[in-house]
Amino acid sequence: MNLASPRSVNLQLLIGGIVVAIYALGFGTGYTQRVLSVAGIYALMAIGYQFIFGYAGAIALSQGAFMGLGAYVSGILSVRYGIGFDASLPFSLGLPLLVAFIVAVPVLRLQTHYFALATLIISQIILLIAIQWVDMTGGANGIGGIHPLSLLGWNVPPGQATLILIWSVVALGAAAAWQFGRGSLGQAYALMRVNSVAAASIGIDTARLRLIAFLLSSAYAGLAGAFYVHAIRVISPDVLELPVMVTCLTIAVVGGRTRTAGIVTAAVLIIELPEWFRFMQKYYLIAYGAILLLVVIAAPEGLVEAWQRILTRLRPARVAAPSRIAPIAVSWGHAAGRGDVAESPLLSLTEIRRHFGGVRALDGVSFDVAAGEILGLIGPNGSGKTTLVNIVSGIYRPDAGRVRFGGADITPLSPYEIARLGIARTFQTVALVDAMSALDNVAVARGSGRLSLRQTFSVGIDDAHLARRRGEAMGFLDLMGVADDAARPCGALAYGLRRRVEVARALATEPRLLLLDEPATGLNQSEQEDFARRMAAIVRARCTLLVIEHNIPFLNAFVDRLVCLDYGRVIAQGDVASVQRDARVIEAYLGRGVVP
Amino acid sequence: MTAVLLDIENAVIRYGDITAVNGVGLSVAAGEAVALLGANGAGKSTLMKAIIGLLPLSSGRIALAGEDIGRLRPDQRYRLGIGYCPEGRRVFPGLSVWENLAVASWDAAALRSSRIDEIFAVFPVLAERRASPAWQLSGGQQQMLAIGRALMNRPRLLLLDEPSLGLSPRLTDEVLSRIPTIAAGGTAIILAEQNVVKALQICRRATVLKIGTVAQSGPAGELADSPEMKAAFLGG
Amino acid sequence: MITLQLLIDALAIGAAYSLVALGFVLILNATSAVNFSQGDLVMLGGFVAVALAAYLPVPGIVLLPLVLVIMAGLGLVFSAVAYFPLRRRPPEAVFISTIAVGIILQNGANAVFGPEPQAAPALLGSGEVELGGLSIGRQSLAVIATAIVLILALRWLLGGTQFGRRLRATAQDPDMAAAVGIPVSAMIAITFALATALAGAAGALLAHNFFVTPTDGTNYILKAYIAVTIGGWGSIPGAVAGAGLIAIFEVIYPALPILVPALGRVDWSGIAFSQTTSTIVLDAIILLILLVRPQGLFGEAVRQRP
Repeated sequence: MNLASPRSVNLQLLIGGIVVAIYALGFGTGYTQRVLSVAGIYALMAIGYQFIFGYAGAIALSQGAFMGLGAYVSGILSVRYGIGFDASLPFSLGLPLLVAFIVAVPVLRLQTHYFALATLIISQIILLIAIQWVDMTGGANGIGGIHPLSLLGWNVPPGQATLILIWSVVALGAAAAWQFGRGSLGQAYALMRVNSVAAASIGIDTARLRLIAFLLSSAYAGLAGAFYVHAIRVISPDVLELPVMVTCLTIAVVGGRTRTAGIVTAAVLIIELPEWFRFMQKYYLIAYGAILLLVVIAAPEGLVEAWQRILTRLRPARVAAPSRIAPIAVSWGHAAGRGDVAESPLLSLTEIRRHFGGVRALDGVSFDVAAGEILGLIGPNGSGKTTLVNIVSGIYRPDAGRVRFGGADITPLSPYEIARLGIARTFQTVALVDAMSALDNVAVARGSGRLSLRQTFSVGIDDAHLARRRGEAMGFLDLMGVADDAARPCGALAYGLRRRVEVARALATEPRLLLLDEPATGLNQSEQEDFARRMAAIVRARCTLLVIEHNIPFLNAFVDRLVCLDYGRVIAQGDVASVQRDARVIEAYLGRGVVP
Repeated sequence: MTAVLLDIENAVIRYGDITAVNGVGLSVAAGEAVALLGANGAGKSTLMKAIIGLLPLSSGRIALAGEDIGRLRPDQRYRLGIGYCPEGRRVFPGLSVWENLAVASWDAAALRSSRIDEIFAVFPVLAERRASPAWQLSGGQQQMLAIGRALMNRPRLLLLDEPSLGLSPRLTDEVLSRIPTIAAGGTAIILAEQNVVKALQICRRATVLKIGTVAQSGPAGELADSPEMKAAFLGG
Repeated sequence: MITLQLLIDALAIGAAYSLVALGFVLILNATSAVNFSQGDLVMLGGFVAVALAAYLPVPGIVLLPLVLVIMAGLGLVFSAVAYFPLRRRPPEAVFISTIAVGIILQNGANAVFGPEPQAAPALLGSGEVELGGLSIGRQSLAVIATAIVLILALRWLLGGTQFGRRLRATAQDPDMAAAVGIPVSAMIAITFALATALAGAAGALLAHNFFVTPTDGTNYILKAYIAVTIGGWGSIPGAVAGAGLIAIFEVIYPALPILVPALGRVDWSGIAFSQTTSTIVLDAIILLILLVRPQGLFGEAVRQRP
């Protein structure tokens, strides 16, 4: 295998790990083994942190607090009630999970800095309660004499046995994290990080994904805490203080936010650092700060990623010709052929109004889109076209008016709900995950409604679900004429191809209505013509199309009707020829005084 | 023959993913008013941003009075004499009208004051609201403020990017009617507009952009009558 | 009588907190970046005052300008290290880099000065002043006066000078600021210097009555965050108002058993009104505000980003 591939790097890390293990178990002193045990505990906590920090992309400052909660629960149950490590596990995991769940719902929807602040405050509150509630927690002094690790009655002796136990659990936890990120779920998170609106637009419930990530993080932290308190046999508020969170954050940033092998390596390195450099014992936190700073500036994706990049430069990978995936045909789940007589319009907008600040973006817009038709929405810059599409797809609520889809009122629904009802869209700026292949970008849309932990953990090495989704995705890439580039990462594709991949992704949700937001932008003449031809052919057979454009010649080739907006109002609608000749439309575009 | 003030050769500008401008040439003589026309997305704004330096040229050359300014930062270009009035006005919302003008002045205090008075003479409505924070102004007033701000340093070249955007026809008239006065003072002007009729009335020459390249170029009068112009916009 | 005493204490603390919050808001406005180490910079200012006092046995008021200058210089270094290299990256990169700098400052201070609390010299001598039958702490009065002077000076700088106008323009729209000739990078660096100087002043002012410890930073950054959340994210007067409200709460809440004797007679009043519980209650209130109205009690200040 190529030296610079992820597999190879992981193997290098694994070999390094085995060497360390042999050393520690064979030649290490009790002290060495204890330090490595602590490293394992931090590794566990940091792997857990990956879920909220890496996958969901949110800077949470609560991981240390959750670990502390797990530690306190396990420690108190041990000392005061004689409940051993294993029996208290449901509680040492349960309390962090419960707290995470309670705070998650309101806190997770906050933006970056508010979310970080809220988690920090929660951590502070937990710390202060631990100090204050002396009767339960021993206050600032804590509680000592906690029983060692015990497993089904067997007291795990410190040293080798504890080390092996902890690292076995780390291995399991790492495997679970790896499995989590491997398939459709990991891809969905990747899209959510790039652009959560785009993720919602293909039916991904981003709030639920964030919640899952946050809960998993807290569970791992709780488990790490339980191990911690039985390994060091004492519990005190120190475990809830900021340095623990800082260490966790440093490990996550150094290791790479979604790179599990990197995190494990980083944990060992970071915890061992003060041991190797004796003089640093007192100043090790300064070193952490300096490392964190350097890594964030020079190697933002983590040291392991940086190492991989160095290797790639030394030994560039030969690009193997990817094996072509056979497209799996998808029969769209609804009938919307042009022959259908529409009883009621597919989409109906009634008196939509919306203002921003003092500006009235939409001022009473009403029109219908019939099933199977191709409607062009035109108007000069600032006429309200994009605002309207954002309202239809659920990103904005209108101030007044109703949006009806297939007769049902969809005005109050959120974007992912609307997507699941069958409205898909594209955006003015293409929102794809650059690091993922075109195929995978489209495959995400094939399972967006069925993402679950159960499915994620029930697949084997050959992920049958992912394979099927990829096959189906291939079909959609074919429709848009980008099948040849399916295996290439989207970041390497030219703009016109990226556009088409994005449309393929929208089509992959089998929509009844497709909204295209200024698709001609950035395409040259021949690309525009090809696009128009393609859309006409696909859409006529499968779904209804609403295209926003200001480029009328482009639309000319394939739309049935036009609706023209100006200053937030409909000023003309009808067939293409008559709208083009309409004096008000001409005036809106060119200004007064043009002879028609 | 009047000296060439601004000369753009073969400009290529990549903006995000897209090649927004693909080999455009343009030249403006001192004191001349040139219209830059084209549909949305044709590359007008991108080109303007590159002239003031907010976007870099991927290749090509921009020269002001013969000197290559491609490496200069926007603030340096401003002080060399290029005033920029962006699409959407972008006045400093928390600063008052007076402060918006003052902040753009690099003169000593006394000269600054008198220059502001000169601007108020061109746009009297601004004088009435000199102490109001700019976010409170109407669209038309903000547009006038933005133009006034761009004129504070007595630029040799004034870039106006879609000044009529979002303004009613009456306000558009009011704003655009000031432009000949400004041009008469010796300032060269590049006016990027979607409002073709008005732009051709005010400017002597015009260049039409289409998907990042020059589709047509010539005297305003000729372009005004051409059927290609209408076709380019309305496809009819 | 006691109420007045408490009020003056609250004012003094509030005055110092305002300086912390102001520095935080300046950087926030200029760069849209949250400076997580603002609190540690306050701590640093306290220690700079302590260190200077070891060499210059003069009243704090004489040391203050020195502290301001030194901290301003450190602010320039800070921006070069934690902000400018990350300008083109997503904002969370700066968030993390400032967390890193905070860690370095905290532990650096610990290494150099040790973990024990230390006191900076009083501004104009300690002790009390008799005013109309009350004895009021000299330091409290001096802190209030100094903070007022600094806040007014900042207000004059930002509102009444060309330089200040340029700082504000940079904060409101950096691209357009460049397009009217303002050297944006220099302005941002100076904003950092100003913000750090204000943090330093706050530290020097607080370090006499409240001592300075290397781990104070976390507490101060929370205060800044809270003040800005209450007063409106990005608003300068809001930050001052928010700081004032925090200080009043911090002083009044633990004193409730004294002010309202009925509360003092309850069994658990010891724990319920301790300093620690006071912080817990404040934190909980802020959390509630965040959840219900994240843009702050008074809304976000007018700042349009294109």
